[in-house]
Amino acid sequence: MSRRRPARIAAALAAILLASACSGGESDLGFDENGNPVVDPGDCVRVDAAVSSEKIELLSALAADFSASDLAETDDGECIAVIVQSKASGGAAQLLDSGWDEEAEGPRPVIWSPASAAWGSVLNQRYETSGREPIANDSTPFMLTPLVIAMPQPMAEALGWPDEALGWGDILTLARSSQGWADYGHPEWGPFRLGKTNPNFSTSGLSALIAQTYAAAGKTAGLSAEDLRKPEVIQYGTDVESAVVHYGDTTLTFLNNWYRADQRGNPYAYVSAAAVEEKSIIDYNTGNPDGVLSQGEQPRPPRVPLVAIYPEEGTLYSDNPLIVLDADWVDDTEKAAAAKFVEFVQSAENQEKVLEFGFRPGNPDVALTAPVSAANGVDPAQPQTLLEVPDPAVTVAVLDAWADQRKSARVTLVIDVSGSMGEPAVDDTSETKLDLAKRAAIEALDEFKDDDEVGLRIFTTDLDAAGATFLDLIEPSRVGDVRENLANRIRDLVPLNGTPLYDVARDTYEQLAADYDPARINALVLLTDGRNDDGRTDDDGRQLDELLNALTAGSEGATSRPVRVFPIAYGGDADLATLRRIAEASNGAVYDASDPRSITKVFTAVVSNF
Amino acid sequence: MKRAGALLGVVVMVTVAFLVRNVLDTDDTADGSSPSRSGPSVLCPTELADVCEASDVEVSTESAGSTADRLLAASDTDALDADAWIVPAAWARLVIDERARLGRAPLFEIADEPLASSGVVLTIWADRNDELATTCGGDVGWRCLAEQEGATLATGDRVRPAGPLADSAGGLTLAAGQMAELVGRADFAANDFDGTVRSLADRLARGQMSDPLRTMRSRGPGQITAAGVLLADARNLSSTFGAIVPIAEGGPRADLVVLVRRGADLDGGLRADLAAAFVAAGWDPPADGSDGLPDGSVLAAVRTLWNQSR
Repeated sequence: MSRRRPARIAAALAAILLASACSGGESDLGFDENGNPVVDPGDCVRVDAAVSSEKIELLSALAADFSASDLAETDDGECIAVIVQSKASGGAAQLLDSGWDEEAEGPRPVIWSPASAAWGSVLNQRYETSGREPIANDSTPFMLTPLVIAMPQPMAEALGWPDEALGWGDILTLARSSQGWADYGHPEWGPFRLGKTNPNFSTSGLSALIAQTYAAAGKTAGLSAEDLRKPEVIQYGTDVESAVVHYGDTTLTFLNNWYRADQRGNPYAYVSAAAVEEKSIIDYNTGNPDGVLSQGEQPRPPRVPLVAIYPEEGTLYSDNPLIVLDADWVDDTEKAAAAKFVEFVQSAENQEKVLEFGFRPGNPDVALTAPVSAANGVDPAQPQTLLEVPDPAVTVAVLDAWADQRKSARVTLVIDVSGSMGEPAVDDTSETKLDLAKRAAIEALDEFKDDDEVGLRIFTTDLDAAGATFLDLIEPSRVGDVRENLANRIRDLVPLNGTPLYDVARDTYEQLAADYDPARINALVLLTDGRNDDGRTDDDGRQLDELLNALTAGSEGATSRPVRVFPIAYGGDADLATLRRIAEASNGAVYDASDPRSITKVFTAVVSNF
Repeated sequence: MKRAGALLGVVVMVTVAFLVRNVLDTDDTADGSSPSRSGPSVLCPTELADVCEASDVEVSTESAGSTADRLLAASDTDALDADAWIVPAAWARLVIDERARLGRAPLFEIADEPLASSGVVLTIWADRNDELATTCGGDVGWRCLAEQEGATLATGDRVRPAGPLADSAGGLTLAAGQMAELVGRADFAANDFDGTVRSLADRLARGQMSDPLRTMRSRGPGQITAAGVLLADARNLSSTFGAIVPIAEGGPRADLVVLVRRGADLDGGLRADLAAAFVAAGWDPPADGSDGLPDGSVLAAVRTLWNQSR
């Protein structure tokens, strides 16, 4: 057997780089703008892997171990370098379907590892629909975590947990009740509020939607398009969705907001329950709600733990498959090399590592032990009932049905038209930040359904002779009636003066709160590229405090009228830290578009909340 | 038996490290990559320059925050551009722990005992202290000052707390002590920075300035009500305090440590000279026990929060 020494060194270098990446930091040797390691695989056979974010750390470490091992060798004696990058499941599915731009998104993958095999089904269905051969065929489960309903332990106990079997039927009953938790002896907890992510973006959201639809149809297998058309199934879905506080592209928003509410002493008013993966409950209860310890954070168990409810009607596993793609950009050598890596991660030794991350091993020979235990609010003996993954065509039909059944929104788009928005978006273009923002906002209008209500407000200083700081171009109106008008008004925006951020945020919030519609998701999307600049600096601190106090007061308590604020920090000068505080005070989420070229993607993520 | 094995392991590791270091030192000499100096050189935070220069050593100065930023990004201790960095332990810990968290190779360790120590102290105009003590319901502390920031006192001026820049030598230690008070626990972490704590921290952080005690004295109570400083600095100005009184001494402590560039050394005599110079400048001899500071990653989070609020 011959080996090319330089190639082995390159593989080892890749391993070192990946090991550096998996420790959560950057390397002095280079990372791209998305935080993925820049690796030179040398002469090795390169196997690019696109994996969902929750396992980037683990798979990066395994890829480094593999690349540095003697197993990383093809039958022809060439070394193999596995290079991992993070890609959200839904986003990767869309890229693989619509065309993967390697310049913007990194290399096209040989291995795709979404959170669930369901994404492979969705992708294959889209390929078949457009007359292409499916590419997600060779799939091996890597690690497992079931979809559960997370609930603060006292709330679950009020429903009869752990003695009673609970499930989507109980969620439906609570959602339909006008009394909410008062029906269970706890009026102080207010109405029932459900956290569910957008199934077009989030694996948890997709699994929850499928499970809830099975429950509505009274089945555990064979969900059909006919089932979806039944009035009682439609009503079931619509009623469950009516309890949703907002959607979004990640469950981490719910978990972080929930944890903060817990630390403030009241985890009951934000959401009563959320559809998440079992792994997230383990993370939450060990004091690390988003699974990542950021700068200065230490694990701090919550005051009130969450417990996992395994729906009695059945649930689905996120199986984190490793899919070796049958794509035209993958040659046989790469496929064979990828298969060796898949075999490597299935070994018992490597499968034991998934437990450290709160997952269940995909290899059934590896024992299920801590942290998957009752001490962390989960039950290793569950789930007792598993649901069949629907046919791809049915899964797509479920998503289509959800688009009609999801809770409608009432949103005001607040767009910064300060002078700095007229600056070039990036060095090598004549387009301004406002140009890109307008295009993204107009595209995002298509993501709203006709029944959503959307308004448009712009802000800057001195909008009129009296010194107005904002202007309502369109009052919140049914999108089906004003979509074109909204697009036209956005298209006409021009950059003007200062950035009275706090003033407009406070006023818009108070107006939305005054007009609060409990049947809708009430929200404010605040796009700004700067810091508060209203011509006075001496009252900035007071203004911010008053804004934060108003947002916090409005989002807490059983009788609150929650209006979520979703700020977009746009461009490198935006005040991301302050915008994060504004979002957190309202139990919303901040979005980082510090690279103006990301604004379209960011706008899409923001609108996924509705 | 286990202990003997561990001891043997340590001996082996030290021997290997010594051999490797010798090889590396030889390499440095051979390729000329090491800076050549006639005598030992130290890098000191700007505020400590005068004390460092009292010893027979070449001194360069830079804000502690700037040095920390360079060392966080560095691939080698040569980035120090001096033989050693003399700095309060908060900064050394920030660099060491943050590099570890970011997956970067370690550059330094704190091996020797500190040169000197200083507590932090809250100083306040005596008459304002009397009034605020009533408002605060007891001793005036940072939380009360933050809550009262902007409130009008009987004298007509507003409550204005001040402190050194977070990126200064003692600023990070003081900021960490203030955060501990705002959070209500010494072992705080970034997840304790909820909305209320951040708002209160904002109010304190907005009062950051160079040399707050001198500014307080020169501009009067209408401009600054109270200031946090290193006890060593307060001692230096004690003869001119007048109506300013130090209160609420306590919280974390600033221990001056020495981080040495790879291949360099500071001999014992120079260390002793430096230690003596700092004691003469109002610092205490090295104190025993914990300095009361959180780990470096938490300090980095405090620094981030403080700098965002300036």
